[in-house]
Amino acid sequence: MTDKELVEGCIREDRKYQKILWNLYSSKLMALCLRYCKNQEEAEDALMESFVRIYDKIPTFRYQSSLETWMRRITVNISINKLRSQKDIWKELSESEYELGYTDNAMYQLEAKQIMQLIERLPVGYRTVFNLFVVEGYTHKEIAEMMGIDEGTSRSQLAKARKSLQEMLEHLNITR
Amino acid sequence: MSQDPFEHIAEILRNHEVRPSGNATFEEVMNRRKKKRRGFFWWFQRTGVGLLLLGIAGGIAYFNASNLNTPLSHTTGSNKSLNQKTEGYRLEKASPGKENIPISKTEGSNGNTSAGNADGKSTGTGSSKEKIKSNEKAGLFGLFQKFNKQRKNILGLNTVGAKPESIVNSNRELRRTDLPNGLQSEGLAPEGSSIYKNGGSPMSLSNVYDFGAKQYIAQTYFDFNIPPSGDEYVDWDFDLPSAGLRKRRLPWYVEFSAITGSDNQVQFDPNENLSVLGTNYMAQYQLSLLREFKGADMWGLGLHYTQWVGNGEWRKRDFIDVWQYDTTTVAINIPGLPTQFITRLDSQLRSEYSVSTGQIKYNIDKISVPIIFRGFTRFLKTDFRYAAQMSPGITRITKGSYFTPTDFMPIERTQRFSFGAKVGMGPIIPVGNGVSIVIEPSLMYESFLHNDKGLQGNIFGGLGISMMWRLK
Repeated sequence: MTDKELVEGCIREDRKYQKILWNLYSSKLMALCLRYCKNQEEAEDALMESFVRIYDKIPTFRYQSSLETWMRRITVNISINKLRSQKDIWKELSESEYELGYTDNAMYQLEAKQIMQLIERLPVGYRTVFNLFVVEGYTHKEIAEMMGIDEGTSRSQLAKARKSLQEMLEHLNITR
Repeated sequence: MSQDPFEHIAEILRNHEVRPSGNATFEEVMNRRKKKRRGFFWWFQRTGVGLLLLGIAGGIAYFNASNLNTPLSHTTGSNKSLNQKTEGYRLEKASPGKENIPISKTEGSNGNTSAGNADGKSTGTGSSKEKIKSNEKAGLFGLFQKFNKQRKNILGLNTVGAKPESIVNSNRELRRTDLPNGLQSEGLAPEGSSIYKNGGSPMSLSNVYDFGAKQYIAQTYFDFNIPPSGDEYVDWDFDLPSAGLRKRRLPWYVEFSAITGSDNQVQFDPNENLSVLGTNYMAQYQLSLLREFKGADMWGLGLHYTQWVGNGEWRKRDFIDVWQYDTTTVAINIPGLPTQFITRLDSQLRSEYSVSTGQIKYNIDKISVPIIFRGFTRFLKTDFRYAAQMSPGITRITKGSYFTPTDFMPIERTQRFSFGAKVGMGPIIPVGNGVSIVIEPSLMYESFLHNDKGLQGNIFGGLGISMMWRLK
């Protein structure tokens, strides 16, 4: 089934196609939500809210990107909106909080679940900017607009996120 | 494999999948969509119910209690003169053979008009300070009649044959109403007791028959054989076994209702020359045929008969202008000269008034064809029915003089156009076999078209009881 058929089915409010869309993308988008939200419950809430928005807005989908990209953008926006209600997103991480180390080799040996665990250890601000920039491919300008921060803040948060991850991986390598 | 370790992480994360737990399901997403789509009308309905409740409570409180506690305080009449000294006098009504309870207290007697009354009528002139003893507050419907009786005692309205009298012969234009007192004893006023006796028995909630309450049936569609959107809501038929849920035919209902209400005008307005103090009562009996529609709302037509009566007391103040002459003589005594006198003539125009009172009552019977709406909601685990209806009709009998707080008018004519409306809300109590009882506080408007004075009406706060049968 092509994206076009899927989209048109959802526009017709055909539950069959809506359910296919859910089956195809709910797991991917759940993983995305988990990277932004503080816990499983909030992530599931964001996921369901995202699908509600997706079903509502799918008539506006213009095929300018892939369906998955469009859905990921909606999900990111909703997850970010949930983040905005939190305080102290942009707090700095002190050196003592790094418990893991770094090595390039270790990074290539990690599985997704372990990477997720590492990402979860990052402060919310670092994690969010890292996810948006590295994983989703947003620019710093876009991140700044989405999060209501300066571009400089976005850059510095990303740099700190990278550094934190490297140090975590270094420690992980030592401990393995 | 990407050379950039972070790009490697990004790739892994982009393709990473986590299956949502059982809490996040497609069905739950659809539920959320449905709730979201309730939109304006859904909230409008809920807000309407809330406002209705608030309105009913406020209306009943207002019409039945708030204006009863306003003491009448009134000191002087109006003035028109060069030298203004405004004084009034007050004629109090007395009843032969009965103890006279004065409406006002008369002070002083310095005017030029005064009279005594041999048979107990107290008359006097001068500044009047009136204060009708404040009536007790009676905020509940059940206290109406008790209150009214007490009010009559206080005001002396129970005096049989009391006639308006005035020492100033200026109230001839007033229509004296010598109608016999005691509407209730004639059976014209709604006693209502028989109505409430039936509704007072405790009802069992165990045999719940839910009139049209929408029950959401959880969907468990795991294949793609899914019915069209919008069919998730089905009307629950409690007559069926739980496993045999089906969409049922939308039923018809027959309803019989009895409603009573009252509207008090318990205040003489000191700013009005003519004011009427009284109580309007209303009793309605209604037979309705209702059809349930999707969404559990009902629409229908009915036939209802209304008895609408009022009794009270009118009071009229008549003003007269009175010249009062004052002559002052001053003696000037200069030694060696004869005493001289200077006389100063003075006059003033004083406005005085007389008060006349009398009794008034009316009786209207009318027949209407109400257009009826019934809706249902659930609040605090209790089913409630909200109702609204409009009832165009004609009057069948009109007798006496209809009154408003500041006016009255004869209505000796039959068959006038009439219009009524009602909003109400109350708990619905299932009693089994497709029968339910609704106890319904309501606000009602009753009116008729008067030839000269246009549309005349009252707003009643009241209580009704309805019995509803579902037709097989």
